[in-house]
Amino acid sequence: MIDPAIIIIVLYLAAALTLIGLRVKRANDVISILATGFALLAVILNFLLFPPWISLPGILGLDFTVNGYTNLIALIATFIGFLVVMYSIRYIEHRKSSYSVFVLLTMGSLVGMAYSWNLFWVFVFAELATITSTFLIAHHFKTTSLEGGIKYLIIQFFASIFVIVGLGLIYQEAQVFGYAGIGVFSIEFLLTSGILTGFIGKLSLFLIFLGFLVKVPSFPIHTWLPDASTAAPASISTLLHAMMIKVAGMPAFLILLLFYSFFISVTFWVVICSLGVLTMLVCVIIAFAQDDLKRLLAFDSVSQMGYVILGLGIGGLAITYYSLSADSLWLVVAAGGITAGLFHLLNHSLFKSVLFFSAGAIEHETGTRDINKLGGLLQAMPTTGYVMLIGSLAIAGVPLLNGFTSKWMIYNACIAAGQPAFALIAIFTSALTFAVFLRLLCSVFLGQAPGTYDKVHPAPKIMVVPSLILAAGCILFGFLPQIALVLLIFPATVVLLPTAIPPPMNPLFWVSLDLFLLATLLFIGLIVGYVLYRIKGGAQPIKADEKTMPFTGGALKDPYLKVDEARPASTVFSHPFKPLLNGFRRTHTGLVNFYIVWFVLFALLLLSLLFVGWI
Amino acid sequence: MQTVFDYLFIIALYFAVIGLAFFFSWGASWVFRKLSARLQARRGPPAYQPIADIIKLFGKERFTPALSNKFLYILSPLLALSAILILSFMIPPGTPLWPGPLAFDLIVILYFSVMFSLAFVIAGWASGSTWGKIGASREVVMILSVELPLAIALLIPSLALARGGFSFSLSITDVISAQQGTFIWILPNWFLFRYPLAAIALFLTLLTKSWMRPFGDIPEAEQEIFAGSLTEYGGPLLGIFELARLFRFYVFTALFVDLYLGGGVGFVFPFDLLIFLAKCLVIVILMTIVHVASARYRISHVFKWFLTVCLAFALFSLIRVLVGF
Amino acid sequence: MQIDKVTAPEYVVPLGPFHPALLEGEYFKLKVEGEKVLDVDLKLGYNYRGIMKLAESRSYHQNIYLFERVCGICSAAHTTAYTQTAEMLGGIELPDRARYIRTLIAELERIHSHLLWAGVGMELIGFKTLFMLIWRDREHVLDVLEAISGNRQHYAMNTIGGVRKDIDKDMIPKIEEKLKLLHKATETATKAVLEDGGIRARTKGIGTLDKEIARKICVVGPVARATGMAIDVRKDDPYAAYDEIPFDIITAEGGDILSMAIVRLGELVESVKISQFCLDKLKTVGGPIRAEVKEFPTGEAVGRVEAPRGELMYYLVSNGTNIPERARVRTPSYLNDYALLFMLPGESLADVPITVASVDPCMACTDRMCSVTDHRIQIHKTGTLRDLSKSFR
Repeated sequence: MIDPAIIIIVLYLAAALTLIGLRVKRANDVISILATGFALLAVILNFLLFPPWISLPGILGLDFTVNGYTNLIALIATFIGFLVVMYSIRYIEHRKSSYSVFVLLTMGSLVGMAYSWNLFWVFVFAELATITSTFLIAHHFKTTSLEGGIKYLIIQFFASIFVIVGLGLIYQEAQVFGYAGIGVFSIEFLLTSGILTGFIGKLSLFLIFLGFLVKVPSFPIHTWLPDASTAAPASISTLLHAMMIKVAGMPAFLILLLFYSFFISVTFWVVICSLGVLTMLVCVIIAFAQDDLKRLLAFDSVSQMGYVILGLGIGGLAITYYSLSADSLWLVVAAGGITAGLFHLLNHSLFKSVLFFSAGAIEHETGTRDINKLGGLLQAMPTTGYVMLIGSLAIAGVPLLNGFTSKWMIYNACIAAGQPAFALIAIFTSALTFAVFLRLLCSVFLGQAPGTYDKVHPAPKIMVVPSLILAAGCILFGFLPQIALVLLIFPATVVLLPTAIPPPMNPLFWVSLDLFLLATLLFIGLIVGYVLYRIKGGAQPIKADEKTMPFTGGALKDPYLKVDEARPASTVFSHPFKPLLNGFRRTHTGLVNFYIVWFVLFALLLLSLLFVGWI
Repeated sequence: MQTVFDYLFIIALYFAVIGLAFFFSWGASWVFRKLSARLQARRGPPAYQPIADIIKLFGKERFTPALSNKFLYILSPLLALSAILILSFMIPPGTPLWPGPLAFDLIVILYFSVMFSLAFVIAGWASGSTWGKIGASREVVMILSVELPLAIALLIPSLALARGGFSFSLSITDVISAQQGTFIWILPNWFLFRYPLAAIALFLTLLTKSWMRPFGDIPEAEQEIFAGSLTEYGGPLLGIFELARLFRFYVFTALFVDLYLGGGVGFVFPFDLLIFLAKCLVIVILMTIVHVASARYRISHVFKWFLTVCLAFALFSLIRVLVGF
Repeated sequence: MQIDKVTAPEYVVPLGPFHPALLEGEYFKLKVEGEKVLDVDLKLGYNYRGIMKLAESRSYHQNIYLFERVCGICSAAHTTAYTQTAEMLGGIELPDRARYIRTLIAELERIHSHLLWAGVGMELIGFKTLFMLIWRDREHVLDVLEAISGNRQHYAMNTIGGVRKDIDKDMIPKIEEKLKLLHKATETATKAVLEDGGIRARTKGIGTLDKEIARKICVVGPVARATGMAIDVRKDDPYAAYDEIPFDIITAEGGDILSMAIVRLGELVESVKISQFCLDKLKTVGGPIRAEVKEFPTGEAVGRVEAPRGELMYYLVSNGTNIPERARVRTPSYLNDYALLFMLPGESLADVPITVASVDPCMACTDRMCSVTDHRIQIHKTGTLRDLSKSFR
């Protein structure tokens, strides 16, 4: 067991050491890999042998806590961070030194944030991570990337205001001043002391929650994420999507934990669930209209975070029902919802990293991110293509991949909590996600390649390996979700909900599907099909020649087609709902002030609900 | 825990159900073709025709088109077949006494039906044909349009069982066994009578899913886009696609019968199966009549229809379930 | 490895020359975005047969059979127009009975052609049942034609100066019986087309042809009448027995596919009425069926008839021999096809087949003319086979 403080110190020191890279070539790669590798190992070690304890520098109020929840978040952070560093070895060619410094600093801050069990220090680390990651987003130092970075910074700081006000209110309420007052923000203290039960307590929690909800992000305040991740290098987009929004959004979920205890309001949880549903639905529709590969993935990320919010919200709803009716069965539903949400969080970081790594590889090799210009890349870069296929199918929720399992659990939790409408919208969103990714896959990887793609090489191995590892994870958790559920997710659930019922007794939790059997049957079906295909035996398949070109009716190149102009781009897909899509797209103007207005309006709406007393 | 013996038993059962589904689909397909021929003042094919068409395809040469992605081109028909075989196994043949571990729930059925359509989308794009791509994009629009009403209509029976409380079950066998007894007077306790609008919505979506007009054959409208996704397919691979599509006569009708027509509930073993199959045949005949009596709509009509009228039907029933009247 | 070539989001869909929706060879190059047609290019001339050149080497009587084979569907219209023009050249007056028989055959052919069109149209919007039923009913009119002429198609009834076969008195009641059946079938078809929601959804407001554009590009026949122009050669320039037959010109406003269907279905009813009128006359009017043909003096003549697809025009030049110096055919489809360039843009890809069919294009009629493109200086010109043979020698 390793003190989180040590991990953070190692990462910060390594950031300082990478300055050697200014003199020695490749030194910063080695240092980064070693430092992040150490962090990953340390977290895994913490996982294997932890009694929940409070770390050394507790005297400073820096109470790092190792428990299931912090470990899960830290694991996501270090695992994805390690892969990002590995991927960046070849991906980032310019200004590598500054890149390494900021990646390590961001990672250190995020690990600190993950392990902090004190709202004040969470806030401090979040601010550190925000500042350092701004440099990463603006890494290219072009106009667009600088603009993206500044936008990101403005919106994040605007969100911080809410957090600061909320913290101040708690400080005021606790009446413990001086440096010792930092101890007030300890989660344990907040949970047990009961200073938050009043209206001011609720208000402060609410403000902090809102501030961190921006980082999750949720629907009306999600706009910084697509802009930032489009401007950033692909590795940084991965970092943003797969770890940053999870870790930085973590306090929002921690706050939810506090809400579980203090808010006995069905309306509040229905609002949270609606927020999740709205987030997933609206953002996936916007994602459909995107032509930029990374922007599409970014909007889809927001949509997937909607699932997480929904899962946790259902958990809260069930706990509320429990405290109203004292029927212990609701605890099962609650555990199911929270587990499903956290499992989807984990899964999302797996497949979204796959997708961003692949998108980065495509951009690296072809120089464009426009879906309409790409095509037929499966021949040129097969590994990336198939990995992306797995990632897309997983995110679309195709059975036997991890996305399906967590989504299935979320649907079940919704229906069990008596909110089938949410489950139905989530199912519909899943179908939309499916369509979004089919559009992406089909236009980028399938179809004919435009002539200019003859020169495209497969991506370097070191850029493919991380996505291979992650894709393997997608398949593994798809077949055997129990591994993840028992080892990773359940300990975290217990932290959020101490009364959670362990797996074998919880039907929602312990996936009742026999996925192994399902896989066997699917495989048998494929074998049957293949036997039928080869049943005639004998002759080899006809070789591809002029006669096997696609038939077009005889006019373009008689009668078989081999022309560039007849290459349907992704526009094939968006026909009947184009007006809708364009309407949604028009709302995303890219103007910061516009987004800030959204944010304020949203905050005012929620706050007015609070003041009226509905939640 | 499952033992190896259990697994072998399940696999044997899998093949038995597939056999049943295959022979039923064959017969239903013939009924479909013969009946539509008679309604169109034609003679119609002999009973062996549906299967003879497929067998013929297996005797032909194998080839892959020049612009196709070979792996996906071959994989997609296999995927379609595999998905529909699993679907026909997961939907119990009218009896609630379906072995325990196989009580796959409705959401899994929903997802596998999407997976079935996915195979056609991938096939259209992997074959490298313009018509294939247009067909595939129509298929995607179709999935999107149908998905929401289908999901609601599928889940309504099981939601009606649970009424929002904790004791919910998404298992299809529970839905079947819940339809025992009578509803009003002599009407059986089928969900058809309890939620008729949802039944209509489900019927329309299943009609569309099984390539029946007015909406179903839009992705492969031959007068417009040749054969859509399957334009570049031929020989054994087309045969596998056709075989997979043959099973639609069992899968989608059985789903409707199980959920809304009570399966074969209320009878002992051999008779419940027979009653179930007879009900399936009635649905096939109904579908045939609708198919024959309608023109093909445009794809934009599908989007409009399913997300307004059909969705309204489904939502009305959903509200009834949630409010509980 | 930057991609410098920017591909436009729209792409080209080649419709034809071989396509399930097209019965004959023609090519539409559709520029499409999603499923929406943005732009159309039309190419005809896949079926050049040199018929007009052949006509210059055959006698007037041989040419009847040649021109009958311009088109299989409207063969009687072609021979009527041809014999009429030749009769104008030779100054021949038709006997009364021949005029009625000619009118009868022309109207029966119109019934058959319009029913065929309705069936094909139904098939193109995927209504296979109505296609089958309409074609089943079309058999009645083919039976009548077979009973009269001995052939289901290519009736070979018209000859210069009259008709070749008379209609028996015993046959008339049988024909009337069939006409009653046809009347009923027509009504059923009309009702189906007007009342079926699916057909309405696929045809109303689709492929709309603006009246001004229609006037400008000189569309003829049912297409023109569907845009509200009451033009019909049978009324405007009566030939055969049309001057004494009362009938209405069916017009519709709108110019969409539904109006075209309404016009054609309305014409079916009118045709049945005209046929009945002719049969009534044939019961009473006797006399010869054929006038004597003497010679064709030097000169030229233009004849026109209302073929099922619109105004069909023949132009003959005689040099005093028994072989025409020049024969020129202007078919209705030649004019109507170009209306498609204005009807297709903005429509969905799914509506292209039915829109193409709505003008009832007859490629066999139209493709007797060859278009030669000079690839170097990009000149399109039309010419005779003789010019062609010169330029490619």
